[in-house]
Amino acid sequence: MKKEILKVENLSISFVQYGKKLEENTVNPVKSLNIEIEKGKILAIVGASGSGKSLLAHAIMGILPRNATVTGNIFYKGEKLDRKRVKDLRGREIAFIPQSVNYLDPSMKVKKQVQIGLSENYKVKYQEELFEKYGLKKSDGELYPHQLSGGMLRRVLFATSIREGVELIIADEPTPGVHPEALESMLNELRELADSGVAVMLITHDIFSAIRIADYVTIFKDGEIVETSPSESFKNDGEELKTEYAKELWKALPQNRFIELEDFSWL
Amino acid sequence: MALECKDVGFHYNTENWLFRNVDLRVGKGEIVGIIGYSGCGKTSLSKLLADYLIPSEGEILIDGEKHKKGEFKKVQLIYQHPEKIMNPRWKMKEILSESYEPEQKILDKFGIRNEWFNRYPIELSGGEMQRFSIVRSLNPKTEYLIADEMTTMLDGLTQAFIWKQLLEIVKTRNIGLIIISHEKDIIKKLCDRCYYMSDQKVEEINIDSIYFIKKQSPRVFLHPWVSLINNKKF
Repeated sequence: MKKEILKVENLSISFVQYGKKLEENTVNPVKSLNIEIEKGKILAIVGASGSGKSLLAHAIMGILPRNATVTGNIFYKGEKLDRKRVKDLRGREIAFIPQSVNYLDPSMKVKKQVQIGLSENYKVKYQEELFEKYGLKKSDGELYPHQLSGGMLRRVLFATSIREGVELIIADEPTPGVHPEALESMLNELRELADSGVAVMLITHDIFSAIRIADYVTIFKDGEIVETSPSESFKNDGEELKTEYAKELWKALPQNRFIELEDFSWL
Repeated sequence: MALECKDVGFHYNTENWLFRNVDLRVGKGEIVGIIGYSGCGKTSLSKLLADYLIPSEGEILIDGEKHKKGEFKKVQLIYQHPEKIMNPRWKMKEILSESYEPEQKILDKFGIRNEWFNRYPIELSGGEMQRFSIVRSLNPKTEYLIADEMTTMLDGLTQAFIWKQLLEIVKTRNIGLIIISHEKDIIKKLCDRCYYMSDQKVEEINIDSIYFIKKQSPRVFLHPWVSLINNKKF
C-alpha cells in the first residue's frame, strides 16, 4: 500500500456572493480536485494567478472564510481531516507557509515569531540557527516586520514553519522576491525535509524552481487540474508534456521563449 | 533627455547609509535593468526616483529638472504588490480613472475585461490587479517608468503577456524604463544596459556578466527607533 500523507478527493470550493438587489450568485473557483502526496515526496502545484491554488491550501488548513462551501474529502494519514482535527494538527504536524507577508504579526519582533511553538529550552538557539541558515543576521531578529525587506520577510516566514515533528508542509508561494542564494537554500531545505520523510506541497508559479526539487508537478487552470507530470518531463520545448496549455506555460518562461511567444489565447 | 541620479545617497537612519554616491542614468526610450539582493535598497532607490522619498544627499533630475511639487509626476512607479497601492474601498473603475481616462484600446491590449470594473480590488487575482496598476501608470504624460518586481507574483504566461504588451507601449511612446528584477533572464532579454546594486553602491555592469554575480551577504539597516530601543536611551 502506498503511504500517502495527504489525499484530496473530489474537492470543490464555492462562494456565495450577493449582487444587485441581493441576487444570489455562486462562484465556483475550485472544481472536483483530486491530488495525493506520499511520504517523502514533493508535489508542486503550478498555475495562473486566480486559478485556485491558494484556496486549495486554505481548504486543507481549514482557514477558508465562513461564506465558503467545501465539498469532497480531505484525508490526512488515511483519516478524514476536518476543521477540528486540522486545528489540532496545524503548527505541529502540518505546517503552513502563507503567501502574503502580511500574515506576520506587525507588533511582534520577528525572532519571537520564529520562536513560537518551540520548546523553551532551545528556542533561542534554534531560531538563531534558522536565521543563519537563511542568511539573516542575528540583529535582524530584533526588528519588526515593517523594517525588513520583502525578500527577508519571506525567509522569516519560511523559518516559522521548519519544526521538528512536522509531517506535512504546505508552502504557498514561499519564494517570490527572494534572491537566488536564499532561494537555493530554501529549496534545498524543502528537498532535505522531503528526503527525511516529510510530504511537501509546494504551490508556486516558479516552474523552474519547482522542477528542480519536486517529484511531480500538477498544473492548475481555472480551478481544475490540467495535468500532472513528473518533473523530468519539463525540458526542451516541452514535447513530453501531455497538454497544450502545459506546453505553452513552459514556453512562456523567461528562460525559454518568453516574449517571443505569439499565442496568448490561453489567458 | 534622461532621468538621472547624481551622487545620490539615502539613509533611514543617519548612522547607517543604505547607499551613497549613486550615479545612474536612463535615457528616453532606453530600457535599463537593476539587479541586487533583497534588502540592498532597490525599492528605496525606485521610490527616490519616483519622488515618494527624498534623497538624503545628491539630486535626481528629470530632463535636467528636479521633481516639482503639485505637478504630474513624469516618473511613474509600478509596484510589486498591486494590492498595496489601491484603495480597498474603491471599485476598480474608480481606481483606474484616478489618474486619467484610459482609452478602450489600451484596456484591450492588456486584456482588461469590462466585468472587472465593478469589483473591489480584493475580488481580483494578482495578475488581474497588476494589469490595472500598469494601465494606470501609463498616463499620456508619463515619460519614465519603473517596474519594481512587476511580475514576480504572476504565472509564466501572464508574465510574458504583460511584458510583451508593456514593451510595445514603451517603444511606441519612447518611454524610459527601469526594470528591477531578481530574474536574470528577464534582465538579459529585455534590457539594453544593467546596473548591479550591492554594498551601498550601484555600478554599471556588462549585461552578460549578471549570471556570474557572486554571493554576498545581504545588508541590513536599522530603523532609528530600533537603535533607540536597543540602546535603551528613552
